[in-house]
Amino acid sequence: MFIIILKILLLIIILCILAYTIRHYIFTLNRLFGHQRHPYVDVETAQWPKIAVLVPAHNEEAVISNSLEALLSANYPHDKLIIHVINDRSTDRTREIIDGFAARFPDTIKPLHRTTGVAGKAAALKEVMLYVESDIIIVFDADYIPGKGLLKQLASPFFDPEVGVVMGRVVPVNTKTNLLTRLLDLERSAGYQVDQQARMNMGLVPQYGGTVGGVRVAALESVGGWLDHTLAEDTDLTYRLMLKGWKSIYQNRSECYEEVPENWNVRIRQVKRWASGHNQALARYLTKWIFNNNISFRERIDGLMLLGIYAMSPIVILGWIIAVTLFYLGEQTIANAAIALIAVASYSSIGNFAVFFEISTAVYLDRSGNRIRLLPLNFFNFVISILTVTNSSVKQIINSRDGSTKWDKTPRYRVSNFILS
Amino acid sequence: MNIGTTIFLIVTLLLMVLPLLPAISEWLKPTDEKPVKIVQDFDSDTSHFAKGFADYIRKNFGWFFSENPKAEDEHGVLKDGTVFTLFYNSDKLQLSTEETSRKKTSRLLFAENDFVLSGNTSYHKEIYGKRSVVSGENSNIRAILTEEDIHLQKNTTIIRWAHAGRVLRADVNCTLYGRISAGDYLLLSVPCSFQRMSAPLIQFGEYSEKTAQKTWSPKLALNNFRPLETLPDLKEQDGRRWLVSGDLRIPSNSLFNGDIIASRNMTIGAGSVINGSIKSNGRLYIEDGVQVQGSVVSAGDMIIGSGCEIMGPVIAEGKLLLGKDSQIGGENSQTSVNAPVIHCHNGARVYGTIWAYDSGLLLSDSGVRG
Repeated sequence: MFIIILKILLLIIILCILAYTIRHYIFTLNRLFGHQRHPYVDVETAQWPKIAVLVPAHNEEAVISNSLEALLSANYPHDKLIIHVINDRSTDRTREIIDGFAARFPDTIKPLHRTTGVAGKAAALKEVMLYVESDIIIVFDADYIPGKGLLKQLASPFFDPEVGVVMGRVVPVNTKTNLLTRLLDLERSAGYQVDQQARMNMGLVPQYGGTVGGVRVAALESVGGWLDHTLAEDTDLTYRLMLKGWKSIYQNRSECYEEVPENWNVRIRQVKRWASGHNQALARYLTKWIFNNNISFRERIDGLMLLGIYAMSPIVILGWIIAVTLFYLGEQTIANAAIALIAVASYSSIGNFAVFFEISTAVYLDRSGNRIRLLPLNFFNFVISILTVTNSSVKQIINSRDGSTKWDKTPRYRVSNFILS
Repeated sequence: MNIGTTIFLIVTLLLMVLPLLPAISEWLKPTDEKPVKIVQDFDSDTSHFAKGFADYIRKNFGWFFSENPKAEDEHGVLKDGTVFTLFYNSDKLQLSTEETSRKKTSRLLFAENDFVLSGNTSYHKEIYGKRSVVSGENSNIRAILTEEDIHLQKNTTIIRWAHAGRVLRADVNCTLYGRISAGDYLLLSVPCSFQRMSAPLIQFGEYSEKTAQKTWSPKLALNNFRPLETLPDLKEQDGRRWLVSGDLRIPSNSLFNGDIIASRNMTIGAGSVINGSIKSNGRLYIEDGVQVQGSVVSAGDMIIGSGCEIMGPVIAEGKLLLGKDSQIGGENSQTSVNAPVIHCHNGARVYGTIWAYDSGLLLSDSGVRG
């Protein structure tokens, strides 16, 4: 009886892994051979809507200047642009720098200095909404350096009245630092260039990532605004909006540089945060997503798989354990097959879009060259991810807490006046 | 351990280690570690190349703009190897014997005054006119920039871009590849083909005010309209957004306030007024005389009937047909029209930008080109 139960569990786990593997194969093939959708990115001339760019900042003295300079250089009509910089309890020179910009550009830059209230990015965004008078908000992290045309590109999808949220592509800029940053560069490429774009092409669920993205204010208000007790406000918002019939859009050509973690401790913390936030969203929206009438069948399937993507890590490990157990209990036929299948397929299905063939395809589409040689080393990134996510997921279940309410941000590595070569 | 096992272990080890060798090599001696390139100064401007060429002209011929015109035309070679001819007094291009026989010229042509190009010729380098330029018939022009007007005579092809400081006019059977722009307006004759064009006004053929007269003119308005308070098969409604399940048909002469989204096909009945934006997740058919105050978006094909007025933008993921004497945008509200394939009927006009990613055609009234 025990063995039968183990076999059934193992079969279910294998089917789940296969489902994700097939999903990522489909995404890859779509990206290579399917019809590519970029319907909004080429809107050149328009009566541009009023936008509010939100820049949450916590101890960002090293990078905030470059970000604000870049935003001020954008070709978006300045009479339709307000930049709200939210300084959340910074202890460095962030406040002073922001006030300097506000003094120089009083009509465009509006600072908000928070000293009380719930800490964290989501809470900061929630508070600044009291001052936003625009129809569209666009969020940038303080270390991002948007290009001249990026604001128009992120605003243009909102001419479609069905669009509630837009996401652009983030590209790592600190790739030269060490092996970790190069591996993360590959991972990000796969996630955006292949995974997100394929979901856009196929009318699935491109995910809003919390930065280099925009939200329609009316849509945000219709779903209750920003929630300040979420670990992943981006994932949470994506699902809340789609449940209400709004669409999530991804624009691959709307690119912006970002910094990725440069050491494993930071990377692990980042993965833990993502995993916890994603699992939180899974718990909140799983049932609603299954029974909602506003989403199509394919959105329903993809959305469910997206919700479960971080939950797959502990499931894969459980699959390994069961397979090995069955092996030593003498059920070698099924165990051998399962071990082999899991070994081959599991790396294709886990984590933050870090799928090997998606990475290969992304590198090809980016017309990058030899960096693809690093692909086998991403296996170690995968192992660390799967263990980290499993650890985080198990702790989350045990503690059953609603996430932290503090800034758990990625450290900044750039010095001021960083010039992109 | 016997030799067979030893060989097996060695082969297994090799299979595991070999893929790591290029990886370790790239790690220790990086050859491709720069960030993926992003075009930071991308500005989506149709006249981007024209502006770049204008800078090139000023940089290489700056002396031309500051000195008095000379008596004779001038020939030369720039530092980058470009062969050029400056026409100070000539108003017509004279090709050399070789150019005439080969029916092409590779000179950069620079004209001080109004200028006429030779017909039946391919121009492989850019052309600059300080005033206006008229192309010869049956010409292929790589790129052309003028400070005043451009007149493309029939059967002229633009390969990369063209920009007129004031008016660009294309006669019948012109093919306008690449980017076409003008400071005042573009006028295309039936039939023509195009890709990407931008100007304060783009006129396709001849506009007929009579045909464009709207059935909903303010004098008639309120008595003739049926205000719509709700929509059938409504899934969600909050604020201005009305989300409808399935196909949707708005009856003729309706007046609706709000943004309408249909999960499948949508038809807007003739003479209706929509004070908002519309989105169809299938095919969108806008009948004659409809006015839409906002944007119009379709996931499939879109047909805009005659005499419609749409403030825009207009975005179709399928084929777009712009009806006779329809108007997109306005004098004070330029906008964009984007679709993979765009067919325009005689009299349509667009204020702003029109971009047919694959192909754009200006059709005669019969709908057949040529």
